[in-house]
Amino acid sequence: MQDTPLLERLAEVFQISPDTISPDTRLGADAWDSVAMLGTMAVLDELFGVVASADELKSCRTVGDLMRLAGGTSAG
Amino acid sequence: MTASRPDDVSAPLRAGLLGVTSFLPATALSNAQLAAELGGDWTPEQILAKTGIANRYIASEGECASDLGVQAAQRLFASGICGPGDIDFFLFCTQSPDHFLPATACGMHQRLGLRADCGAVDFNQGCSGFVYGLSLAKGLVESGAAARVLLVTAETYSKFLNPRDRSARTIFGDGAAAVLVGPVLAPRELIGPFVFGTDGSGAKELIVPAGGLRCRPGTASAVEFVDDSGNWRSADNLYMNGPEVFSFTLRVVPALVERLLVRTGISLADVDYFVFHQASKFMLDHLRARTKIPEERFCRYLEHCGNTVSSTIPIALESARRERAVGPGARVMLVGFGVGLSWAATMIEIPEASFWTA
Repeated sequence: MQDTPLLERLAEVFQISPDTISPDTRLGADAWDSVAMLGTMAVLDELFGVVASADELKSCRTVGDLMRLAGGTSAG
Repeated sequence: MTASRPDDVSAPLRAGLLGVTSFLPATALSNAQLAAELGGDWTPEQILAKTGIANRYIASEGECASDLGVQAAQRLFASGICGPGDIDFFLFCTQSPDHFLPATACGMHQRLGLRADCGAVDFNQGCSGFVYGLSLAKGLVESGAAARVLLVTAETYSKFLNPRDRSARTIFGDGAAAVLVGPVLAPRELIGPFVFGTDGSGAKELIVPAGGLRCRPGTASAVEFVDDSGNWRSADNLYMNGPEVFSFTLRVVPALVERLLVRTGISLADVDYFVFHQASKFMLDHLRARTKIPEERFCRYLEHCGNTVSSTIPIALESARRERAVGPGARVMLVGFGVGLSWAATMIEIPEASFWTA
């Protein structure tokens, strides 16, 4: 699936098992420390050429929201 | 001293980079010392892996940016490239001045023994400061306003940092650099073209809020608080929003490199060497991959002394010369970006001058 590389990279960033991460995975308020933000920004830029701001990232509540930010389709 | 002369004596007068030296304060702050001081679960190895920095050098209690700058300039004179009497204009780039007034450059002028008819002025810029300084120096030389310009960058960000600011204390180091920009007869531009950029909406993302006239220092500004990232600081301390600064860098820098190539009329493959502002390993790694610059042409000089703000580019250039990564005729792209938010890039050609051939 075209979304797989993104999910794998996000699993790395948030230190979630790649087996359990999905578009529905929730990103709690404490998920967004600066390390996670830098990591996610780097992944979105590298894979999609999309530069997200810190505010845009913080407004994402699920991994699916992040995928939509990347312009990719969510699995749903 | 005379301008370098190629065979074509009718070539126009250009501004060229004729010498680069640096100075770091004596006291090193290693990762082991930082890990011990900051506590938490960071090991020295983790700090190195995360930041790419092994040491940073910290100015002592009574040591100011001007002191570091004077030392760097004296090293330039000691190299034999030029003497104090040869300098027509002195440009000093710092965000850590001695006083609001007079210009710190004036006191340094006196300490360096520059001529009475030599101009001296401060300009306030950070990570993009060296490239801005080159644009000012080139303007002075190629307009005929001054023949030889001493450009010094110096910074003591350590004095702005809160002792408990884990991220900033691992990244920033103090240091200075001094370069000579002088006349060279050459068929092509040796410094330039330039691309500049500014985004003042990002001013709040990298700032020392109090201490200037907008917010005077006092008991209120000294009150410490914990921010969202768990960093302790007061309004008197430097604040850096890492993610926003990174986001800005991604938006701006690849496009900046592209614009400069277009303006210069050459391709990436025609550039011999790239010296980016040495912000952090994470940023350098990502930018290199994004711009597709080959690793062997991408300067890295961060591990030794950390992020010295406006001095990172000249300090890295000096190391590149030492390693023989650049020599006369080399076409080098310099890319500065950061606090302001401000950015600037230029192409330089290393001149056939004694400093570079030595």
